[in-house]
Amino acid sequence: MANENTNINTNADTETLSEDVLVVRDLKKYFPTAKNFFGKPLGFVKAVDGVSFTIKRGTTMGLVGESGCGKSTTGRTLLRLQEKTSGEVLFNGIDIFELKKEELRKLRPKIQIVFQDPFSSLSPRIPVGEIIGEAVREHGIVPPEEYDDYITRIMKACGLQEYHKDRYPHEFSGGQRQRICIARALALNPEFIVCDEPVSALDVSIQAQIINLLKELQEQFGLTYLFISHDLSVVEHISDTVGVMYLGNMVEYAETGELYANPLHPYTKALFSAIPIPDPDAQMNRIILEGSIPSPANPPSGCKFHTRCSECMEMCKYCQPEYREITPGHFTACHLFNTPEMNAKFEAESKAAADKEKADEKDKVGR
Amino acid sequence: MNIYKDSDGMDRIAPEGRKGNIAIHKSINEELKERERKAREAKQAGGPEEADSEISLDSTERVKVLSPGQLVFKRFITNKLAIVGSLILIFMFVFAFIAPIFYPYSQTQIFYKYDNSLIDYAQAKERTEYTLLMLDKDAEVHYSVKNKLTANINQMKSASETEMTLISSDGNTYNLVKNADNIYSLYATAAEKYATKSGSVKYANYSTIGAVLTYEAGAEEIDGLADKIKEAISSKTLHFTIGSDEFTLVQDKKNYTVYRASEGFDYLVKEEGDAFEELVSENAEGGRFTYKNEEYTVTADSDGITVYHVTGQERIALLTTYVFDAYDPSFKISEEFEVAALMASIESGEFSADGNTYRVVSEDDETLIYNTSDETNPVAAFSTMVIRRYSGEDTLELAFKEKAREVIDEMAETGAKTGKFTWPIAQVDADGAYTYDENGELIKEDREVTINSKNDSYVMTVEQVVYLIDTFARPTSQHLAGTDGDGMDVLARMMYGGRVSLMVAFVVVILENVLGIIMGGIAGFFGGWVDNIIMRAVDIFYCIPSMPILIIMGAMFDAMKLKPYTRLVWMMVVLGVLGWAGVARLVRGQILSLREQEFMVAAEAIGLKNSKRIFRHLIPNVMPQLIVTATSGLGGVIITESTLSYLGLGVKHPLASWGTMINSVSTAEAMKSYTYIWIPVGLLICLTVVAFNFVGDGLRDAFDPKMKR
Repeated sequence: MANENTNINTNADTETLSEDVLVVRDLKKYFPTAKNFFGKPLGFVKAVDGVSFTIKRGTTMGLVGESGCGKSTTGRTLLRLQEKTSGEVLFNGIDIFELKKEELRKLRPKIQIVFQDPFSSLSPRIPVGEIIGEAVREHGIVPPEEYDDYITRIMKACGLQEYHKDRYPHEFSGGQRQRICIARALALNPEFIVCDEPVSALDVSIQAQIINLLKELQEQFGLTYLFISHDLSVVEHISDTVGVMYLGNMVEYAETGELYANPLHPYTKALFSAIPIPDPDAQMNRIILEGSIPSPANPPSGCKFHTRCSECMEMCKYCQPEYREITPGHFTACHLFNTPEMNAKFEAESKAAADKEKADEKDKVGR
Repeated sequence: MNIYKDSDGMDRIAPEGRKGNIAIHKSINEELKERERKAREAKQAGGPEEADSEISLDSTERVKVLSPGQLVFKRFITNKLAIVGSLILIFMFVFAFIAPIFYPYSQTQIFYKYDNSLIDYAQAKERTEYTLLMLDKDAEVHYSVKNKLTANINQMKSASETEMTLISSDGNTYNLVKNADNIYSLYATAAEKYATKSGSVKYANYSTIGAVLTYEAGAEEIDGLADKIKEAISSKTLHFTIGSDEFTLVQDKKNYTVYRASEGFDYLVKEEGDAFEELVSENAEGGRFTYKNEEYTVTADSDGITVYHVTGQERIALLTTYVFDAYDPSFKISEEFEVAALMASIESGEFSADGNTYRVVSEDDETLIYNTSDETNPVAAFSTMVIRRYSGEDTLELAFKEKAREVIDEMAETGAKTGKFTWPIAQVDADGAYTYDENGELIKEDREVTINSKNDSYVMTVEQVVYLIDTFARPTSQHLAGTDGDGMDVLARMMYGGRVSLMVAFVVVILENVLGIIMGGIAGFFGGWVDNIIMRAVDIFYCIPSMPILIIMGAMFDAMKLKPYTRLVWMMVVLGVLGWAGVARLVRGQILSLREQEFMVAAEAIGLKNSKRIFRHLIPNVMPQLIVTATSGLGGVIITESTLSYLGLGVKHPLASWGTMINSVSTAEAMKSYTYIWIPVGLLICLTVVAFNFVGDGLRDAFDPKMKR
């Protein structure tokens, strides 16, 4: 893991590189809310509150969760499109947040992102060929004499025609625009692409096209994806592994097949029960979550999900569950899967916390 | 060939370079080239056609699709008002920038018209004042005599006397002798004081209150004086004698002063007898008498009588009303010449002056002077009639004067009030200077000279061509829009004024926008404290009241006496600096909203440099808004410039500007009378501003993608 290869521009010795393209360790991103007169933040929105995962080369990791659970923030933070609060992100063993501005700029082509909204992510006054090729020229991805042909090839690979080059984004449909976005990312010869809900703005037929395009490209070029989506079926289709997020935390992580077949965390179960089954006669066993998602500015204590959990225990209210490997390759953070020793420890802790709370309340009443 | 399990648990064949589940990262370019090559080979081998070579009916390839710029243009040209505005603007530009090249007049060219008008040309007047021409340069005439010479001569004339004695206050005696009409000689006489006779002497005071008699110091007491005084007072004669002494009383209320008449003559040279004293008494009031073949003069004053003995006399000066005119303008008439000529006219008739001999001949009613070497052409003449131009400097030729005298004499004979004659008169041009032909000769034209008698003088009027600045001329074929108050062509000034107005508008707007884009761009893109500082500066610029600043600047430029063009440049700079704040605010706002757009995040994600992100992604997206505000702003700047120029703070006369042109007819009376000046200029301002607004609105609509039309 401690690969000290700082030669970030070369692809020559990829075989010597680690199997893990991206390692995220305890990544946190807090957004300050109100600030006082001196500019000191008074409160934070804990959008990402300690997320860890590893993505292996050539695979796709899906990241699912409700709206506002911090999926997109995770995606953007690990590209350092915004600064982290704490934690580390290692790309090919290089800590992205340690890099200087110019070094980061040089590294950018290796990590790309495809945005959710294909309408706003393309500059409206630049022709498509230029949108795709701009950064290719900037980074010298191909020799200048091959530039034109290269753009054509990339566009063809993404299902665009050569004559589209001189056209402007507004002349394209959503699906075509998303292809342009993908072409833009792909043209930089990246190793890793964050797909931030790339298909959620598109209709289903186009979604399929795009997903298949992404898959195809992955197979052809050995790309690694972080696929962020709230569409569980899409994620199931494309991902090798899936992480489930709730309120800034990773609650469960496993291989796709394992996770879909055997979800452990109550939230995951509830989430998966909402996947529609394309059979009108089928009985859906939906687990209805009560209440709404708590504010990330003031998350619940203990397990963040305890306010809505059907299997909530006393310890869930006071103690944060440990995110750990239950079965090989299957991680979750839930007290239901504690070992007996852990249970004992957490029970004692929660009791102490509950007693203290009661005492505090009494204090308040007494006053 | 590698086999790996995919996410569905299916066996898949990994593409080349894949090792198990891990792809070996290869350059996409290489990969794509490889694929292209394979496809080509497959095609050559007779493989199936590529699917994408087919063009379906709804393919975008078949549809003509426009770029954003073309779309804006298309929408713009369907807007009627915008087209009208554009046409007006095109007209304005042609009018202001191209038309002046072909227009024959410049903006500061002054036009003249000429007119025949009667001008007072010359004046003729009979001279009555006598000139004193000194024969002896060292001699002096006492002022008391000098001042009264003309009056004394007139007295002599009226009394038909030929000789008069003048005695100056300092006791010198002069004789005034008539030599001929209008020529008199002044003689100074040498005299010695011969005798004096003092008047009465204060002797005593007598007061009727208490009948007190007080003697003056040194007076002898006389018995019976008091009684005599009483007697005289009661008889009211105030005159009495005691022995040989005569006394006179002078009353002052209750006091009487007693005077004793003087006793007799005090002879300074030798005693004379009673006969002499009798003669003196006869001339006691001043005069002249002869006694024993000697001449004596008597002067009397309050102190008594003084008798002078005349010992000799000498001619020291001539007095004349004659004026000399030379036939040849180059002939300078000196005082010496004048004296000699006058002397000659009295005496021999010949004289010499300045080394030449001249003869004076009286012909008819004029007196001519000939050089003895040339008896046919007179060199000069003299007469009492003075003829001169009203404007002092130039002299009249003698022939003109002679002709004028002739006519005046005729008039005097017939008693006519007016007379006329024709004479060639030199002509002046527009600048009031004489015109000369190619030989350097004065150009003269025959004009009728009218002489009018006015009191004791004659005024000669001539009809002459006068050049006038052609002010406020109505529109004619020569000046299509007339001329203004300075005689300049209004149409030419409208063209050049348009140049200034449009140039100022464009320069100011460009300056504003360049400053605004840079400052707003920096503030919006970098944010934080940079943004804070710039936006506070913008707030400050918004607070500055621009009118007072511009007025102060205008006054300052006046004080610095800047050249019109330098002033214009500074005015543009000031307007630009005062105006950037609005643009900066707009740009910052736009950039703040654009900065959060995903394409800007994408631009960062693909690792573009800041400069490229600003200039290729941000600015082009701000441009539409900027173009719209700038176009509308152009009209505003034209109004500001016109206002400033109208107030005299902007463009200065004679440089034309639409504002200064309206200013030239800014009074109520002028506005009423000269509508053909300010209405077209006002229309030009209106049209230009309206056109800029139309175009601005058209552009805004065209840039707005929500506009359906």
